[in-house]
Amino acid sequence: MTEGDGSVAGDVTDTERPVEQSSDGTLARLYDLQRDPRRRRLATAVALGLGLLLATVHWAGLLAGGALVGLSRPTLRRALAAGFGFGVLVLVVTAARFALAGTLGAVLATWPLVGVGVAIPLVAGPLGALARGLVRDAPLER
Amino acid sequence: MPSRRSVVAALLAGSVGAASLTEARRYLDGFAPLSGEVWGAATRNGNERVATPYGEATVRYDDAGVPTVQADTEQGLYFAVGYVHAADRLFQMDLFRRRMAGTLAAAVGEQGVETDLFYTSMDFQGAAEANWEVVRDTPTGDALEAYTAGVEAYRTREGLPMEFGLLGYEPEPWTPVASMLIEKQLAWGLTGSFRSLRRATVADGLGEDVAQSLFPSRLDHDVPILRDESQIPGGGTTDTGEGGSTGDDSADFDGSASSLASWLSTFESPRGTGSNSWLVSGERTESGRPLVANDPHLTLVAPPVWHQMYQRGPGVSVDGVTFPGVPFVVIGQNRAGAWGFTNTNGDVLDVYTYEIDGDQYRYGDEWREFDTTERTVEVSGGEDRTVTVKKSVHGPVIQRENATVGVAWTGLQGSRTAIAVHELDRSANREEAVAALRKFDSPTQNVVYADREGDTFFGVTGLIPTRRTDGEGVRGDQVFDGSAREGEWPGYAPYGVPDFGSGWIPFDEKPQTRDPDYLATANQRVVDDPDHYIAEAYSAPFRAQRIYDMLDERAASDGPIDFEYLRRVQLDTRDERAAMFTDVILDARDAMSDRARVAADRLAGWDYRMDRDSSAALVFQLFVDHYRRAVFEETLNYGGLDDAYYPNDWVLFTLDADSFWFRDPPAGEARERATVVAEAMDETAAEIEEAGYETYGDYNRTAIDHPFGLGFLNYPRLPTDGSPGTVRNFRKESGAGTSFRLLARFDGDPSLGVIPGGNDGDYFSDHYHDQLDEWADGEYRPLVPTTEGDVAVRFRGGDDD
Repeated sequence: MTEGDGSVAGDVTDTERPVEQSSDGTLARLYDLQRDPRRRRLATAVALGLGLLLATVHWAGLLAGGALVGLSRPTLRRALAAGFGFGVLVLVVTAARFALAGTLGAVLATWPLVGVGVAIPLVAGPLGALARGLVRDAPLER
Repeated sequence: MPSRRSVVAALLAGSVGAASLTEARRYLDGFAPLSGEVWGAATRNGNERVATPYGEATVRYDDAGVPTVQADTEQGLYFAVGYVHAADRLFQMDLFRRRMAGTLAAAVGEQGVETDLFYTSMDFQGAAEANWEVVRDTPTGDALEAYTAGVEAYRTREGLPMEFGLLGYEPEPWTPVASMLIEKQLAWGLTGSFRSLRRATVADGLGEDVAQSLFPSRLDHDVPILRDESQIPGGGTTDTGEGGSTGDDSADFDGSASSLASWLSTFESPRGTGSNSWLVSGERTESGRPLVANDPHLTLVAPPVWHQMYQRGPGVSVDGVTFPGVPFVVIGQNRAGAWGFTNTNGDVLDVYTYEIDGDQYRYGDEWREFDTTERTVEVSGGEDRTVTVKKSVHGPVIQRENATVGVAWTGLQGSRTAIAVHELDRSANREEAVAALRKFDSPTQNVVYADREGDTFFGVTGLIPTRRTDGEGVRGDQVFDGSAREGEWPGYAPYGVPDFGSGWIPFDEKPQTRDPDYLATANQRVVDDPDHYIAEAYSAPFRAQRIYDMLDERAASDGPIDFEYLRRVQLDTRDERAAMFTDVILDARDAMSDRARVAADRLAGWDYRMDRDSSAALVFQLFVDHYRRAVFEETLNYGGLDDAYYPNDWVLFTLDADSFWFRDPPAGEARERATVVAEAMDETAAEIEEAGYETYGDYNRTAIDHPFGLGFLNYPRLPTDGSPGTVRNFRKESGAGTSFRLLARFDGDPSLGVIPGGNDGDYFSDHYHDQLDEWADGEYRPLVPTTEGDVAVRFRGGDDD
């Protein structure tokens, strides 16, 4: 599997279109980031940190975090997986906070509320990562 | 075919729009990890420093989360108490306030509407405002202002309890009137009784004999609170109806009222709400100092109705329980003495019928307009309702289907009860305590007080009306014809400030005594022959009988009544109902089915103790309910009457074999009592078999629930001892029981107490239900303030940290 083969069905034509002149610079940098594993990892780390920070302020931060980590992925499918991963990370951090406060057991006992709490980031992360689909995949390197 | 971008854009826009603009937003606001309001309480640490304009104070907590509040000034103390109450119980306070104000549905939706319709119609808000008029310009008013500021300091600066996130609303500012509403709730729960309306309904539908049987005005027993009539003060010269006409002279009342009476009954306290208290003179104790015990039986909820606290400030050093929303210790002890309350069952509510013509009612020779106001009951997520609040000269006018009645209740007036409790907390001896209790206008309570000097007191608090019809004193156990000006209350001022000095039974003419050898109150008749009419009826005397039996036995033995004996009495589980009726059950064995006989055989040789490991206790307690239904249900169904019309267990167990309920019942066939007992025992055996119970503890488990009905917020189910008929009181079916156990002493060792649950209403707190095991197992905690060690919250001038 190559970097470019994860596109969802029907989006092949998007990858073959020429990059529009107006967003040349930004998109080019994004494509470079998506192709360069080292820069991608760095961007992912920053996106995860920023996403977590935003998520502590408002639930929309879960969408934003998902979008940020998704944009660093070269394909939409990988973006969705990264968004899901962001959701899992949110849950891990949340559980750690509860564990440190000594309330993890009590939180886990709050069914069905805890079920809603678990579902939200696992849905919101990939949903935010869908934003990756608004950007064309990087053109195939020839 | 749409492009990927347009599909994704549509999906994103739709999802985000749905999340932001629909009900989903409430879930996201509440439950999103890291930001959700519901989870905030799970990681929250309160401020350790709080700014106060009232003077420095500190709060330290003991290992059960019971705060000790110490302050340099009195207002500084109450500011800190307000902060502590809000930190532990803000949602409960708001819920109580909403219930009494009739604004519950605005928070909880449709399920709060019926409650709001009643409470709005009663206009308790107006009554609370009248209270504040009485209290405002007194030192108690200053204390309540400081308390309010403390609640507000927490509400506006700290995170809210999870319940607010679950319901999706924020509490409105706390006010002194809100504290007065809380006081009204307590008073209503203890004295808001429509018994006379129910009685009149039964008399109308089933006849006077049935009414007298179900609602007897006097229970035939010999354990009133004051057994020695020579102890009772004389001097009652006013004709207040005692010995006068009884309920059979009720106003004409047609059967349309049964629906109204049943509806109103749902806003009364659970059946059997009561309490125990007793005091023992120092001449009878090992230490030479008096002892006091009290355990009020109220609805058991999570969190508990009481909040435990130690308060230390200038002129005040008091330990005990407060009602969240009011800063003062209601039951407890201070440096001088200790005190407790039980319900007197005083008759302080009357019901009136009227001759009505449109918006007018006849009152004597004139026609008066009802005082009418339109109020909106806001309903969260539903359609708002409009309530017409209608008042007559007597108070609120309640309408249901075709029945309309006016209601007079002493609690609809301004009262000085907050002042009384404030002064009681600060009292330095018996005289100051009694002076404070004179102002305890509502509810009517039996108070026991003892101090370290050995002085003790028993008395009855609360304004009790002296009803007049045509200038003559009348009893209150009837529905009055309001248009004929029957049953008027001199001095009464609904929603205003009454004349405290006249129109009511004078404090000194109510039953009271000083320095008795020992004395027990358990909601039974206060005295056999009172000078004044006090109550329509009293509780069954089972608990009173047992307490007096135990105290008498010890007194007769010449052994001292020591503190350990006090504890034994409070935890006693002998059921006098069983002692009274077990032989009747055993005598009916010949009429029983095989399985009923097997169940009944478990009662043979039983010691009548309602202990968790007893199989006899299991049989007896379940039998009570089946027997009650077997005797009365068919008649009540025939009369269209619901469970609210069942009589107390004294009535049930004193029906002899020749009673008309067996020989000539109002509905159904005549039956031998033994046959009824046998049928009830057969149903008992079937229930035990079906449920798989083996011992009483399998059935008799705590069921203390949070109002939300969410399983995790409810307290754990624990087996416990006691029954509705025992001193150690637990009423599984009605969800009521001992809400605080106090054993107070003055011999240098600490007094003891325990509440059914925990002091902190925060589900995530270690103290959410950390006293529940001790409570269920009959254990206590020493009442010792935490005056040294880490300060949890420090109040000082300046800004918060």
